[in-house]
Amino acid sequence: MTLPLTLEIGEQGLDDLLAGRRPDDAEGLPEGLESIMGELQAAPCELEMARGRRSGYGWVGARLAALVVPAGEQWMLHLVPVEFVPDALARLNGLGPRPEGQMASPVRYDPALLAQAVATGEHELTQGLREHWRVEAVWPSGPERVSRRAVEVLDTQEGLWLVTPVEGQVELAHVRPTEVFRRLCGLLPAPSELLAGR
Amino acid sequence: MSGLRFVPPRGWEVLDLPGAPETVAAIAAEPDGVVNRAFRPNFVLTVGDLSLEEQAAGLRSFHLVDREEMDLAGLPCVRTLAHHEIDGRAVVAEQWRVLVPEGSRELTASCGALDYPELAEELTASAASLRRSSE
Repeated sequence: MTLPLTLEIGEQGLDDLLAGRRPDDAEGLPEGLESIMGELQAAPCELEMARGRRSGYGWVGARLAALVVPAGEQWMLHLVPVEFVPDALARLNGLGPRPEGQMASPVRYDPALLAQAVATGEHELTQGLREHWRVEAVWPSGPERVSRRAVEVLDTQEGLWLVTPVEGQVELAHVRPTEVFRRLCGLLPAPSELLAGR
Repeated sequence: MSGLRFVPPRGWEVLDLPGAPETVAAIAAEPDGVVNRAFRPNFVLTVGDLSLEEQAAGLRSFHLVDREEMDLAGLPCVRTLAHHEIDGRAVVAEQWRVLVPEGSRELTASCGALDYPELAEELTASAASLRRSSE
């Protein structure tokens, strides 16, 4: 199977793959894809992705990762080697060069205010909002404990704002795409972090 | 000669490239001589003959992540961050392209994507050490 692999698949086909079954209409699907997808369901690290109101999911194994995002009525499945996950996430979220300009100072907001501003678009925070996206990695870090690491971004006409929880508030830091990409590269747990959960 | 010099991260090995006198390269040290990274981080300082677009055309799965105009050690510079594939490895390349009277020069740092968070600050610090050779 040649990687990275990207293919569009329907709801039923995706359900079959996630259950480790070969879909009835498997024309064009690489041989063995169902086994890989089935095995990835037991992967220690999962990804939760949100882009606007759309949600996607991911499973990160020792060598391979699968990312599933909505594509109209269908789903888009991306199967990539683990080291390509940061770039896959960057591409899915349209990360690229942004207009140059003065970088603003960080600001803090009440999380509820930010959520409302994103939902309604009626706030200076979200003027020129292109997209609000978030990717979170979740993995076991001990008996009945999980660890999480997230990258959350407000993508606006003026540039990118990194959203980070700080002392009960959220801090918005105006950052270059480089900083967002660096965070995506550090999103997945290191092997030592995964071992901590065993 | 490139007419420029830079200080690579501490402990990196500077390579002798007899066939490329205009190029200076440095490669990350490996503890105990054991190569334990899938892609060994490196710096290359050379004459910038190709535009970014021409470079991109020769790379697999090139993705430009960032581009900014800046000043680097008093020299006009365009910094870019990109991701591409080399022999199946996911590679991040940060490049500082500066203009000197002799022409364009480029300093490129490359490392594996998963190594980038750990190395980013060191790479930036090395790039900031770029100077005219005469200084």
